[in-house]
This record gives sequence, structure tokens and C-alpha cells, in this order.
Amino acid sequence: MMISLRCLKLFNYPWHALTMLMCTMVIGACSRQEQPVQTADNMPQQIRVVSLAPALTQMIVDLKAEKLLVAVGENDMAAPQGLPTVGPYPNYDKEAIVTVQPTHVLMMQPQAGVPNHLEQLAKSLGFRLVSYKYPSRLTEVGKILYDYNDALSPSFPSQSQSMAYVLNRHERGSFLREVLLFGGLTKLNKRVADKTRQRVLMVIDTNPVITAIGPDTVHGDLLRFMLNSDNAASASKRSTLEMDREMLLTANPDVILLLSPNAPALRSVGEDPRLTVLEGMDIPAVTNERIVLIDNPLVLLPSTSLVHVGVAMAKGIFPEMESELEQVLPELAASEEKGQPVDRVSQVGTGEPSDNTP
Amino acid sequence: MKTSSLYRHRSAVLITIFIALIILAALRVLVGSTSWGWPQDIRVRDYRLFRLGIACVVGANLATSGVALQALLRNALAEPFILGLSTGAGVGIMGLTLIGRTFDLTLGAHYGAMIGAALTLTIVFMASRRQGVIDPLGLLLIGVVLSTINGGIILLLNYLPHSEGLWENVAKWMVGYIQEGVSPAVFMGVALLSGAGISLLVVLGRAMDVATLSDDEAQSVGVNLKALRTLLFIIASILAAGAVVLAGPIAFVGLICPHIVRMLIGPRHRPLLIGAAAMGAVLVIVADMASASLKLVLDRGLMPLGVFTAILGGISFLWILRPKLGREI
Repeated sequence: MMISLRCLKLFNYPWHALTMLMCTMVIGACSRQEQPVQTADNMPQQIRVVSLAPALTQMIVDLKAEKLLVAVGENDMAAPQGLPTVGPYPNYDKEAIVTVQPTHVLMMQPQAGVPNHLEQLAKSLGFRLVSYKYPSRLTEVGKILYDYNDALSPSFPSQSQSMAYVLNRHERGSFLREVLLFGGLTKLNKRVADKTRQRVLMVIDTNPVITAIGPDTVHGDLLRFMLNSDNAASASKRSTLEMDREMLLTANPDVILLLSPNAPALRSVGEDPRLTVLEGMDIPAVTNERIVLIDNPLVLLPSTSLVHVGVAMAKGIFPEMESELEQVLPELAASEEKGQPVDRVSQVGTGEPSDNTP
Repeated sequence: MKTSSLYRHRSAVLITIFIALIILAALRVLVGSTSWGWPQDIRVRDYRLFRLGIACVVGANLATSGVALQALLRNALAEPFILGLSTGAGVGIMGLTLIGRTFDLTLGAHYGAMIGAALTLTIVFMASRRQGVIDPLGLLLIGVVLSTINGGIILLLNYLPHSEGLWENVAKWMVGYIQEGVSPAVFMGVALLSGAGISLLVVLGRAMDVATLSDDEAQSVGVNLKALRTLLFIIASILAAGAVVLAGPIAFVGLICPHIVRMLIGPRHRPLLIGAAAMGAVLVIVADMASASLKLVLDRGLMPLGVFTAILGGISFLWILRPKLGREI
């Protein structure tokens, strides 16, 4: 009773009451600042990611989530510099993985399945092992990046759980998929849509035997649906195809794109030892000297870098359009700065196309 | 068996092998990687003929090199691949490629192959001698170990320049593919050199027969063993290196072909060399045909030749080694 009376007395002095109120507000405000706010953008700060696939690393970088990366696999050309590595596939260095204390380990699932020792390590260390099927279609790259089902999460989380979902980068993931990846590819497609279709052979190796990329691949889709060209190695359904001269002759490519990351500059047939197998061959690509090297370090990745790769490939296939094609990337950069979607794609070809548009 | 009937038997076997070679060579022109049948396009026919030519030279080289090594080392299990010659030639090619890439030079791979093969054979030859006599078991072990070391050096040379590797697909190269990229000039050079080498071996056939006896016996009939061994050593290296230049390291052709022909016509070296050369060509042509056919039937890329020869040769090797297993060699 006495306390209550004293409290009431306090209000007899308005300055005291005002001071106490202000102190309470300041303390309250300070304590609110210390407590982390669970928003979509800062929540992933707790996530520690190990990426075992360069294609996924590139997606993480483009999702602007590279700060979450604590380690990558060996020879990861997409990784930011200075990150520790956890060894080559499939013999990952367990000690290195334990040291970086990941919460998530992301990988592309090899045909043999996820290595058992990695699954056991995930159980024992308590990190989440997220394994994506290696994409064989362009649409699958988009789905790995951002899945529309993720928008319904957490009530209805998609089974695959896209990178954007796992890293809690929903908005960026959606923008990256729609505007920067498929939007960029659509821009590219619009520029080359009225050009005569070319037969293009995408070669990834020339020694000891020509090895070309087959049709049911991400690069096959890129070529067919986005670059208005036909894959000269489409006779086989294999993802890669070793070819002798007889097969090259039958493929009869107009253009040969040599997709070789960081390769030294290409010389002419007859001078370059990589092209000896093509010497004297009577195919348009050789007789018209249409052999182009794409040495982008990310050229073989089924990832968000495909727009850059697509531009480089388009310039190789349609060299007369070089200046026009070079505008695609600055336009995308401008779109990114604005943060506004420019071109939306309703669907990217997944099966037999009725026409050349995606 | 009387001498005349033995002669007739050998002749019949050799003629049969050569007829088989001719038939298979004709078949090879009919079996392509894109279609079966006589090629309408003259360019396709030329490519098939070029592959056929390479297959013949590679097979003949490996088989006769095997015969020469078996005579030189008095060991029926000697052959270029087991003794590390093929991988040695691979080291030479990789080394020369690295030098060429570093100093921006275009160097002939065949020189590297020859140096690598000769160097490996020298090491095997020197290291397996015990008081001037070649120890057969030691020879095999040193060959196998050196082959492994060479494999490691190839991977190291591939890895050193940059992380992507000097040759991105060195593992494929090490299994053996027919190299259609070799220029006709290099092919002709290798073919001529191989022809000369095999001819010289045939001329030396009688001396090689004598060399299979003990050193004293051989010298008592007037054979200069030292000169003979040096010659055999050089020729075997050149033949193995030539095969590597044209098709990479291909295993076991040098082992199984001499053994098959020896079973059919006996151990005399002149007919053995001729028969083994033809048999080697037959085996590599069959492997190449199988590769092209599998591509057509299974809708796969080209299979490396080494896959077939390794399976066939590996089984044959075990079969040859079978009586000696569990005993002191």
C-alpha cells in the first residue's frame, strides 16, 4: 500500500515521470536492436554452406549469397577467391568438411548416387545434404535456382527445395530466374530469331578423339531453343559423343564451337595441334574457317552463367551480329540495377518444339 | 612331322591368316561408325581406309615388337605394354607436348614417343640384369612397376601446367584410340619405319632362333649376341613408339598375337614374325570394327580400342601364366 502511494507520489513530479518514460523507451529500443529480426534477408547469416558443384557455386554467387559459402569442392572455377576446398569428387576431405562446420552441403547428384560416406557424415555432423539431379534441360537449371512451389513454403514446401529456398533468397531467386537467366536468354533469342538456322557442333575435347555435346543437354537446349541453331551431334541421344572423321562428315557442321574453359587462343587448322583431326576435312566449318573457341571459365556449367555463355556462342555462330549481341549483357545489368523485370518467359522448351521460340 | 610337311603347314597357316586379314580389311571398309555397307561418299571411304591403314600398322608393330622383346629377354611374357614401353612412349609424348606448349613450339609427337619408349626399355633392361643375366621374374616386376610410374608421370605432366590439365582427357588417351588426327606424312613416316623394322627383324629371324638358346650355345654357332640384342632393343622401341604415336598405348596385342601364332606354327622366328604381324593387324582391325559397330548398335560414342584388347589380352595373359602360378619362375 505504501509502495503504491509512493508511486502515485512520483507522478506529482512530472519531470521525474517523463525521464523514467524516456529511459524505458531507450532501453526498450536498445534491446530490440540486439535481438535479430527474422527477415528473409538476414536469416541466412546463420547458414554455412559447402558447395561441391561449381554450377551451384555460381548460382550462390549470383543469388548474392556468397557470404554464406564456407568451402567449395576442388577446382571450382566459380568460387570466390580464398575459400577453403574440401577435396575432389568423390573423395571429399572429411576433416576439411568437419573444420568448416557446415549447416548445408550442396551437391549435384552423380549417376552413381550420393556417396555413402557423405550421407553418413551428414548424419553424424548434423548438416543438411542437399543433392540436385544433374540438369539435362534448360528448365531444370531454372528449377534448381528457384521453384515456383517455394512461394507456397513453408506450408507446402516443394520436394526439390530450390537454391533460393534453401538459402532463403526467394525474391532474388525469382528475379534471377525470370529476369536475368530466362529473360536474358529470351533477349538473346529475339535477336537471332530471324537468322538462318546453323548446324553447330559443340566440341568439348579434341584429343585423343573429338568429343561433342549431344542434344539432351542444357547446352543442347541453349543451342536449339535460344540460339536458333541445330545441334550437329543430334544423331545420338547421348549427352556426350566421341566422334571419328566419318561421323564428323555426316554431322556436316556449319560452325564448330570449341567449349574449353581457359584454353589458350585458337590458331588455324593446320597450325593448332588441337585441330589436327580436322585437317583437310571437307565440311563447311573447316572450309569456311568457322571454328570458334569459347574459353569462358564457366562455359560448361549448367548454371546462371548460361546467358554469358549464350552470348559468346551466339557471337561465334552469327559473327555479323556481334555488336547487337554485345548489348544483351549491359541491358541485363541495367535491369538488375533497376531491379525491375523486363522480359518474362512463360515457358522454356522442354520437349519437341512446335517452332523455334522457347 | 617331316620338314616339307611342316613347311607346308606353316605356309598354310600363314596364308590363312593373311586371307583373314584381307577379308577383315574389306569388312572394315564396309563397317563404319555412321552406316554399314559400301560408302557412297568417297571421303567416307578414304577415312575408313586411313583408319584401316593405322590399325594395320599399329597391330603389326605391337605384335612384332612383342616377338622381338620375347626373344631379347627370353621371356614369353614380355610385351611392350607390360614392360612399360607404351606408357614410356606416352611420357615422351606428354613431355614434348608440355615443352611445345611452354615454348609455343610445334614438335612431332613421334620423337617424344621414341625417346620415352627407348628410355623405359633401357631402364627395364638394365635393372633386370643380375650378373649379366636377365632375371625373368625381376624383368616382369620392373616392367609393371615402371609402367605404373610412367602412368603417374603422365598424370603429373598433365596436371602440372594448370588445374584443367595439359590434356583434359588424358585418361581416355591412355586407353588407346586410333588417332585420325595424325597427318598422312607422319603416318607414312611411321609406316615406312615400321616396315623397315619388321623386315629387319625377319632378316634377323634365324639369329633370333639361336638367341633363344643359352649364351654359350648361341655364341658357339657364331651369333653376336651383344649386337643382336642391341638391334632388337632399338627395333622393338621404334615399333612400340610408332604404335603409340598412331593409337596411344594399347595393351596386350604384343602378348597374345605372338602366342597364338606360335601355337599354330611353332617357335621359328621368321614365320612367327610374319604371322604375328598379320595377326596383330587382324586383332586391331577387329577391335576397331567392334568399336564402330557398338557405336551403331548401342548408339554410343566410339569405344577405345584398348578396352577390347585389354579384356582379350588380360584373359590370355592369365591363361599363359597359369602353369607358372604357384611355382618359382
